[in-house]
Amino acid sequence: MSLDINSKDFVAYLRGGSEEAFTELYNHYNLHLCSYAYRILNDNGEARETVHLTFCKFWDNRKSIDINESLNSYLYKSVYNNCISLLRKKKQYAKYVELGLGDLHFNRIVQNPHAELKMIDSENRKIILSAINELPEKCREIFIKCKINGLTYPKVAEDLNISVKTVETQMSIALRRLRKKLDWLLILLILP
Amino acid sequence: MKMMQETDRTGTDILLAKILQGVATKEEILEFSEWIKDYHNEVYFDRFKEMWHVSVDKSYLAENAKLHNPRRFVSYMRTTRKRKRLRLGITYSLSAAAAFVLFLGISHFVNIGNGSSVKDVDFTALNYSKDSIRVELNNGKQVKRIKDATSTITNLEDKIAQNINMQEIQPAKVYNTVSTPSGERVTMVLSDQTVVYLTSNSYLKYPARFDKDKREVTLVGRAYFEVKKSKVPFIVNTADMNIEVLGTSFDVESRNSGSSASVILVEGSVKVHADGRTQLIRPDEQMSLQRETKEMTVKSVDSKLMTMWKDGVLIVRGQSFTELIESLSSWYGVKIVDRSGVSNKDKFNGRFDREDIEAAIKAVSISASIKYRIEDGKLILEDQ
Repeated sequence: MSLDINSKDFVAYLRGGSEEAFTELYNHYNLHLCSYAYRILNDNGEARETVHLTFCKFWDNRKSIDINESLNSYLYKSVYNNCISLLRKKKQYAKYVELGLGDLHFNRIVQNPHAELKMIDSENRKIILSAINELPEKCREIFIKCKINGLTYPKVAEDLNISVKTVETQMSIALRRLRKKLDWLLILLILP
Repeated sequence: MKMMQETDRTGTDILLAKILQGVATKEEILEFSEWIKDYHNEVYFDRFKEMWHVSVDKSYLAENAKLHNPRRFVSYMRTTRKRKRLRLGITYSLSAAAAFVLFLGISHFVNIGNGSSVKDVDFTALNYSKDSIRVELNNGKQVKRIKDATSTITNLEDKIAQNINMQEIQPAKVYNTVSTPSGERVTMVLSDQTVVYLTSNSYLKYPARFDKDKREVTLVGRAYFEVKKSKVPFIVNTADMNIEVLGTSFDVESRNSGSSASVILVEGSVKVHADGRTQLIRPDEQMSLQRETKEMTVKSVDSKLMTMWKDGVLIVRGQSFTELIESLSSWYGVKIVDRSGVSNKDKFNGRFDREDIEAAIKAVSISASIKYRIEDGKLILEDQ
């Protein structure tokens, strides 16, 4: 018998301590929750541990757990909360606090569970992924290194053993292609 | 002019990526906080953030997919459940956390069947360390303590108080020493009311009475100090460093073996003198000294968690398998022979409740996909 994670009875199975249901839950969510936690904490070890703990707590409190919304949002919110309490102890967060910018950090930078759930099945996600995937391989690699990993052109040139000029050329190819699909990349160019 | 703007935006994007990756410096954070006040920039940031999350998510899923092993987790849950049935009414903090080990950076997998590959092993066959705590008093007498099986931490102060006649006028320098074997921990109160927790395989030397101008003790191993506030500095001397405080709580680890020594501060402030340098540490920071390179590093830690050993809970953070086994062997006072091929690249985290070596070993064997048996009173670890 295979349990349907979306069925109404699923939560009841979890409450009843069904290992099968729990396995299903874990298989379905673990990796995605780890990814989410990783993007909040920027540390894979901490991310995986936080998600692990979230599942443990879920199991231990399964009888008393009150799931008002979907299982989905319950889990993402739990992971978010556990990440936040860890984040508060981190040095990076302390920098924001020292500058009086703690709120900025939580409100703008940390991905809240609402935004994360919205992103998961958004049309934008598909557009972004296909736009990036359609780039030629070299071009894509350079784009990811510069835009996502935040490396400077000279650093990328050094890493890939190519000239800074080549990085610049590849980036402008990437941007030209991406702008067709990701119109917002134009925003800063249009600005005076 | 177009090229110019293009370059400018590259700078912005690098800044945004740093912000999202949590590696921005204070100056960059400040720059960002000004930049985002502009409405257009705010819109740009939200879109950039979306692209960043989508891309990082995708590469994370691709890179970590093979690390995903559901069976491992389910086996863990099974053991937790068994424990729950055994010890009814136990609270979460003990049951779930008592013997939980996480396997990080997994590079290899061994199928663990349906989780019952671990056969019941008779833990009563295990030999526990027969050494006892040794206390050498200033009068040269040695007090041998009988192992107290029921309590986690033996309280030494009563015993010592009985043996020292405080009224007696003593010469300036008379020392007491306390050393602990595997599986034993003690707490003691020094003459200035400072409380010291000494973990297993450690040695502390302290004067029966402190000098007027300084309070000085010598440590080999690991200890937690709750120093009584006073104007007289309290100094802990170890092989690699001297730690100077006025009144505070901190943890010092400096063993004869091991590649590094460290200090963890819980509250107040401490000065660490090592290798001709002085380093100030703040609460919730851990300073480590690499013995070979003499490199000093300070990182943020959860100090309350890291010093829980004094309350009878062993915490393991980022240890290799060999280090983990050494910790467990020392903590529980049993000999462990490791014949498994677990890579030392794998890192372990976890917390172990004092009394239950059985649960600890079960959790470890599930996490590391190994099996165990007891032979001649020793615990043998092997590949499955």
